[in-house]
Amino acid sequence: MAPGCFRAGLFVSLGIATTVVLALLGSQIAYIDRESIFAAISSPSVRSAIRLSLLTSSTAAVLALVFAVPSAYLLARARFPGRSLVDALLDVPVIMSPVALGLALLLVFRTSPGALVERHVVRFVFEVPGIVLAQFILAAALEIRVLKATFEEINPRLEQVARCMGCSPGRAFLHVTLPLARPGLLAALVLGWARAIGDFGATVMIAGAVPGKTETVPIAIYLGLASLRIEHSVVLTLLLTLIAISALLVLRWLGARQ
Amino acid sequence: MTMLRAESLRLRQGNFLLRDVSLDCDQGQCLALLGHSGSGKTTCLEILAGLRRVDSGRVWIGGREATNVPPEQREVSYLPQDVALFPHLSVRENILFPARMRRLAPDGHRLRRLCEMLEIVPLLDRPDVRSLSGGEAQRVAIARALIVPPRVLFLDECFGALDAPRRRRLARQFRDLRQMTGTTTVMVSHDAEDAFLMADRLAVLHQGSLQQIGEPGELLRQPATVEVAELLGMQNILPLRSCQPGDGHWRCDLGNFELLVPLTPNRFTAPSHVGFFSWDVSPAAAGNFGEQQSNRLRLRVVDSERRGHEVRLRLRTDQPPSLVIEASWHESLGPAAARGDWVEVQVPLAKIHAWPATSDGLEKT
Repeated sequence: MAPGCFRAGLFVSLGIATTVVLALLGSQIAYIDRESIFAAISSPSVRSAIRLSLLTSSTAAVLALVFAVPSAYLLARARFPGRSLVDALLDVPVIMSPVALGLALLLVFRTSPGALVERHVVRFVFEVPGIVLAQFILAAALEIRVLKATFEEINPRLEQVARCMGCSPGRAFLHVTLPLARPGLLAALVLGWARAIGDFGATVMIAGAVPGKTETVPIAIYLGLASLRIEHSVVLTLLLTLIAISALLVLRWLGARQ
Repeated sequence: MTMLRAESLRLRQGNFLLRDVSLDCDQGQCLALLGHSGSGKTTCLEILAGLRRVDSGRVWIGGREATNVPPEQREVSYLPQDVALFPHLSVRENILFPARMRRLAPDGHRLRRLCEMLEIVPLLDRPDVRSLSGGEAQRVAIARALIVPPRVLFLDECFGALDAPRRRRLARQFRDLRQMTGTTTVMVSHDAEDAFLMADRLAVLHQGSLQQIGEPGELLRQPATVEVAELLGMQNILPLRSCQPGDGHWRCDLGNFELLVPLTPNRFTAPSHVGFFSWDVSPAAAGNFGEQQSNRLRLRVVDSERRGHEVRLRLRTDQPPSLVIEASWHESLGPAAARGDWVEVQVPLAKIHAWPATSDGLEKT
């Protein structure tokens, strides 16, 4: 193949991919006008959906980070029997269909320990904590992946040097590894949050689509389409798109800083 | 006073086995662990620093047993090969890090003295350690390692990445620092020259076992094994065909030549290898060796290599089996022989080292 043809082929592929994304954005903007945006934003149900989504996704992403940091650190640094198996298991929520994940989660609460938790600790099924739980699982899997790569990139020799300077393993982690992992921590948090706020499948399976109660933004889009309030759905879709773009910009900025 | 003592350190890691290594280092002394890659010198250093656990054996630091003491409680400092400055801290924060971690007030006087001696005062306000050159980073790392006086400082080939003049300069600065602070040091090196620059004693490791420990002069005078001789820079190590006992020496057959090899009181078995340093073999100046006729070889110059005022000549026999040896020629003796010239060399009997077949590692040679 001539070098010119090869180069042209590459540009054509890139052009098609870019056009598809631009078409997705453009069609949303073209569909709605200013009045429908104001109407959607002033709607109490839309505002409630945005509030709920922000609350649940932020809680889930931060909680996930609390678990993801030690898990990822252990996977990156320690060698123990079954490590590869655990590593692979933690990837399951990343590759599993969110709907299937939600159903599996629902089934957990049909087992005796799950039912016990439901009865005596926190109610998850068809409740807001269920949304947080579903989003937590999705966010945590992603955050562990990002953080494991981050910790693997940090030279373990730095911790050894710190230990010979009076640091216990915990202090070496806090004073050396964690500060160096800061860009990775932020990237994991942003990705986990974006994953959580955009989830529909797992949320709808565990928490249902109860208007005004478990209605997150993706569920509001679904309910809007079902009740033929297309403009509302499009405005909310545009909102999710803007969130995705913002998350990507933050990641780019973090990458540039690193 | 013995500051560091290790007894019968043993560790298996995959195919590697560290075999019963015992060594010691006095207060203020510098001990160099010398060996090829994979000899176990870094493993040994990490065990002494507390970064690795041993299968068996014991370590004492400052008279107290430290075998199971974690590194943060050993009051030691460790400087790895890549110096490992903390990239999220400034130069000053890096140097003061050990004091901060041990909750000690920074010793301003010590900081100033260290920085002056290491010539890093202008670097103190640099916010980013990644902007330092290799030599600057090494000096900052040394200051960091010494800001809180350690019982023992462990250096892992930390001068290896520098060019020769910088290495010599840093070694000089480090010797001055050791004199000022009286720091006991254990260093790892694969380069005998580095070890000679810094160390008071050498411990030579080969394939996980300690071959010899002693002062550099002692090792040069009497290398215990072929591996020790090789590591100390001996190029002329020759296998022998046969040896016959003579009057106070062995008569050894090298194929084309007969070499007289001294008997040593502790060696009753016939040697299988002999060796001599190139600086002990000098081509005859004006063809004059005096009366002594033994151990004279006539060889052709096949290559020469200049090292400052010294020229290393590579000499070879013409007839098979080929014998290649290295000899030194100092410029002060006149112009060195050129490639293709025939020269006559004499190996003084007293400068020949011999090792019996039982010497460790001869299977490899």
